[in-house]
Amino acid sequence: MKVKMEKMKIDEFFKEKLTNLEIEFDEEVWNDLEKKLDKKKRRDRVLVWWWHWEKIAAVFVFGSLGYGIYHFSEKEFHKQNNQVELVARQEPKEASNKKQNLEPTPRNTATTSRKQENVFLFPKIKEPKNFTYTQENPKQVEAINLDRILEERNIHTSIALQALTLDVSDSLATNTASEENKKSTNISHTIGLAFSPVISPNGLQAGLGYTHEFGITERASLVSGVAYTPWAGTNNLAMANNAQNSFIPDPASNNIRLQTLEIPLETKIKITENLSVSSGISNTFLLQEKIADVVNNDFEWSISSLNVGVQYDIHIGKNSQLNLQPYYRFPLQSIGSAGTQISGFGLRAGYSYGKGKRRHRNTIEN
Amino acid sequence: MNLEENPQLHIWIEACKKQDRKSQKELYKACFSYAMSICLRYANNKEEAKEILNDSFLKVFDKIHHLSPPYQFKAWLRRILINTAIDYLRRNKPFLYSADSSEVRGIYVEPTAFEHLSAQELLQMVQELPPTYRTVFNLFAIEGYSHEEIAEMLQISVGTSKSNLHKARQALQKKLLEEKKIFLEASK
Repeated sequence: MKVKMEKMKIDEFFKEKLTNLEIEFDEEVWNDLEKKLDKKKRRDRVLVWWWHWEKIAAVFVFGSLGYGIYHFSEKEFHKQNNQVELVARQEPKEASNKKQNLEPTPRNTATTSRKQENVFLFPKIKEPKNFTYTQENPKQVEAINLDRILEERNIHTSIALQALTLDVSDSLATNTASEENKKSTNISHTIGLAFSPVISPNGLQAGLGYTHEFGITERASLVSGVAYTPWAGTNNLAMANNAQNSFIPDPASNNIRLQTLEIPLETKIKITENLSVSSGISNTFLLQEKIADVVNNDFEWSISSLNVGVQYDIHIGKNSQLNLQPYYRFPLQSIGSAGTQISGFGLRAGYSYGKGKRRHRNTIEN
Repeated sequence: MNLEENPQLHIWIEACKKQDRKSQKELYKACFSYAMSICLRYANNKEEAKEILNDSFLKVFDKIHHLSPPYQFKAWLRRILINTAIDYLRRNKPFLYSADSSEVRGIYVEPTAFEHLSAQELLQMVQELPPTYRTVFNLFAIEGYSHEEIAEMLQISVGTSKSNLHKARQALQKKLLEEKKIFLEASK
C-alpha cells in the first residue's frame, strides 16, 4: 500500500513536468513570422482591392439582372400593348361600319370628356367577336365615337399614357374577355416561410425565415429572403481557419454559439412541374458570437457558402404549395473570431403562396 | 509568467488590432514559451513546432480584432494552437486508425525514480511517440479532454481513442523504464 501511494499516474507525471515548460524566446522564429506577416499584408492589400471590385461586380451583375428583368417585362408589356394597338387601329372603321346611327352627339362628347382616360384608352382595344354595340353599353359607344373624332384630328395616344391605358383597359376588359384570352406574363412572385435544419461538421443548426421567389422566365427564377439562424455546437462548431482544414473541428471550442442572419441569393431552374434545381450564395451576417463566456458583438458580414440544391414542390392548392429542398453548402468565407465555416447538408422545408399564380394581363383577341 | 495577469496584455491586444508590428512582437514574445510548449508536445520535432506556432500566430493576428474585454486571450490562443497542430498533423497523415477498443488501465510510475530526467527529455519521449498516439495522449492527459470529445475532434471512434491512449501510455512507460535502466547502469 505504501509503495502504491508513492506512485502516480503516468498522465499526471507528464502533465506536471511538461505544463510549465520554459522555452527561451527565439528571434529567428519571430523573423520567419514577420516575413509571413509582410507577405500577408501585401496579399491583403490585393484582396482589399479585389473585395471592392467584387462588390462593384456584384452591384453590376445584380443591377444588370434587375435591369434585364425590368426591360424584359417592359418588352412583354409593350409587345402585348402593341398587338392590341395594331388591331385596334384597324378597328374603328370596321366598328363604324357595324355601328350605324351612332354618330356623336354633344351629350356623348361631354360625358366622355369628363373621363378623359377613356378617350385615350378605347382605340387600343379590339372588341371580342361576340361583342355587340347596344344601347346597354353606352360607355363604350361614347368612347368609340369620340375616338373617331379624335383620330380625325390626328390626336394620338402618347407613350406616357400607355401604362395607364393598359391598366384601365384591363379593368374594362375583365368583363368581356374570356378565360382563354388570358395571357400569362413571365413575372411571378412567391412568398413563403422556410424552416431549414442543417446537419454539418459544425453540429446541428436550425433556421427560420422568409423567402421570396421572383420568376424571371417560365423556368428561371431568383430566390432570396432572410433567415435567423442560431448556430450551436457542443464541441466542434468552430472550424480551423484555412482552406485545407475547413472540415477540421476546433477541439477547444466546446461552448461556441453564433447568432446569424442569412440572406441567400439563388437562381432556380425548373426541370419539371414539381422539380427544380437551385444554386447560389448565402450572405451571412454575424449578430453575436459567444465562445465560452466571452461575447463578441462585432457585426460581421461574409459570403459564407455556395449552395446547391434540388427543390420538390407539393401543390396543396391553386396558389399554395409545400416546398422541400435538400441542399449542400460549400464553405466560402469564414465568420467570427474562431473562423467558423458554414457547410453541410440541409433541408429547407417551407410553405409558399403565389407559386403557379402567374400575374395575368387580359388582352382581347380575335 | 501568467499571461492573463500581464498588465500590458490589453494594450498589446488593442495595438495588435491596428496591426502595430512592435506590439505584435511584444505579444508574441510574451506568449512564446507557453505557445511553443504546446506546439512541441504535438509536433514531431522543433522545426514542425515552429511552423505550427507561426501558423497559429498568423491566425491570432488575423482574428485578434474580434477579441473584446474580458479578453481570455490565453484560452483563445490555446484553442488556436491545438487546432492548428491537429490540422498540421492531419495534413501530413490523416488520423485513420485501426485499433480495437482495449480497456484503459491506469499506468503508474514512481516520480522519484525519474527525477534525473529533465523536461526536455520527457518532451522528447512524447515527441517520439507515433503522431496518432501522441495526439490522443496530449489531448487526454495534458489538455484534459474526454474520449468522446477526442473522438469527435479527430473523427475517430471512442474505442480507438481509448486504445491509442493505452498504447501511448505503454510506450511512455517502456521509455521511462529504459531510461531508468540506463541511469542505474551509468551510476554504478
